[in-house]
Amino acid sequence: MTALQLKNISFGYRKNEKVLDSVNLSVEKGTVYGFLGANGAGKTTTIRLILGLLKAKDGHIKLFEKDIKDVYPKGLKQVGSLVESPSIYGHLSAKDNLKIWCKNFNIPQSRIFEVLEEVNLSDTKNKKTSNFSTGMKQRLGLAISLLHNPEFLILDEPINGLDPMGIIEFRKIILEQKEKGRTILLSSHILSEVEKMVDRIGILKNGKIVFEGSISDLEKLRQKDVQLKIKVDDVKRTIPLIGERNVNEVDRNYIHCVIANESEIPGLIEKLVSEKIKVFEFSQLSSDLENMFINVANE
Amino acid sequence: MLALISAEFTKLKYPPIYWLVGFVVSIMAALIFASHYFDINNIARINVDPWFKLMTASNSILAVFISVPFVVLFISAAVFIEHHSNIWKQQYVSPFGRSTIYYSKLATILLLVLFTFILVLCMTTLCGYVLNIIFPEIEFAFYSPPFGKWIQTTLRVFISLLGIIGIQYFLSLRFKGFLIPASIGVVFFVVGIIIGAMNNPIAKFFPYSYPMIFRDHKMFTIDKINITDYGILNSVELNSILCFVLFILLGNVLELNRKVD
Repeated sequence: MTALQLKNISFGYRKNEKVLDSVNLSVEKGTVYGFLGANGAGKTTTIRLILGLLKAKDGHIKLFEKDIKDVYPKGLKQVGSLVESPSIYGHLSAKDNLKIWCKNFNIPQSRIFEVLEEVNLSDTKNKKTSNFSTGMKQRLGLAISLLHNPEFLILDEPINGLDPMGIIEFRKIILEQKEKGRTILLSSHILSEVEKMVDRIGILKNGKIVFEGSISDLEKLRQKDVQLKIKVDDVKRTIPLIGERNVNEVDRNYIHCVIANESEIPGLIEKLVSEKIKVFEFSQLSSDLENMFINVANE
Repeated sequence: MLALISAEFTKLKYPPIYWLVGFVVSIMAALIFASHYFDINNIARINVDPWFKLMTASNSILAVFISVPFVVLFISAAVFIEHHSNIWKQQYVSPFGRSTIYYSKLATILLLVLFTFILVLCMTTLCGYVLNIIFPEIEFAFYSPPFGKWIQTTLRVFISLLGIIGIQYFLSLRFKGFLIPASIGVVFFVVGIIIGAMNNPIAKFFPYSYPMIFRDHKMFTIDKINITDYGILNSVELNSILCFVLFILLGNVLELNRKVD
């Protein structure tokens, strides 16, 4: 079953502006979907459209196979969300913040303690949230989104501003939610972190989906190309030897490039040496999601 | 809707709101107490119910000087909590619908204004009994407080405020900060007092003057304002209700179409 489906979604804040251009994506029930893209790519806009905060100009959004227009706002009962920074009343404690949502959703207040436990905030339930750290606020935001036991979690940049410990803790919580069978859409630009949590990813660039697939699809891409970092004395003479198309980035004496196969490396080194180019460094970069993302986004 | 109103009350555990309500109740009690304490010779009359004088004084001070700044500051603060906590997006992605959220917040505001007025009534009644301990000749203990009449006149003060409540709620939702809606309200309050005190007929169309002209408080002359009495309500009170309905409906339409940051 598809938890979320976007079909040809286009949107612009002004006439003739296209923040999103025919975006298609689908999130299967019970999976974690990583929604990736650089800042300004249109991730938050997409999430706002899904949640009904904005209205799409073209296309359809289906939530659990029903058009969002037909089920809005009641259909959002199945959705828990955290859009950018968490919405928290700073003058209240974590418990009181959750009490508000308990009353709104008409659910027993015993649920407060369950979600506080889930996000590891039980010890600070009575502390004023204005005194919370960024990580604690994010976790409380997540607790609010979990409170009504939604089937589907939509989290927009939830690890933004978290320190490494905070990121590890947050990841653990997300993985626990995944184990509980929840469907999760997770947007981020911190790619290496998303890689550890998601089943499928979609990469958004300038309002268009430029890659969508499973982690194993990504692995295939990873095996296909070899990323190199070369430091030479003459960049200008080196580039034509590597092939201009293969060069991703030039940073002073460093060239970042891609070759199709590992077996091409000895030949390339020989070619550079025979042309009397001094090679100071020649390293193969690990082709993690971060590099894949840069490649896909640059294509 | 009731659940949402209950949640709204939890949100309002906000110190500035407590202080504001506490200040209004205390200042009203202090003014009533002082006005009686320093003018006891004029107030203590044999066979005259002192509660009516106290009730009239209380409602007049409340209507003319206290209620408008209170409502302006209270509504600005109550809505500011939402802006300040960046809460709209979370509210509007919940399955209740924007209108339900909009009206439940409004209902909470109305209930809390009424609650504050009831507190004022209780505190000024208490003042009467305290004055009676100091000046037994004033005979507050001899008569019963006219609660029925008192509640009725307090309700009329409330009705005269509805127009301002509608405008202030509208402004507070439109402007993100506290200062802009509060400042507009305070400036209009001063303008309202000036127009009303000048006995200018325009006051009938300026909601911020309504609490001081909806009845003759015997503080200013209002004979040129031409208020028509329709029985239960008069023309000023009707204008106040109309203004309230107009701004609340307009606010709801705008809220339904607002792009939330």
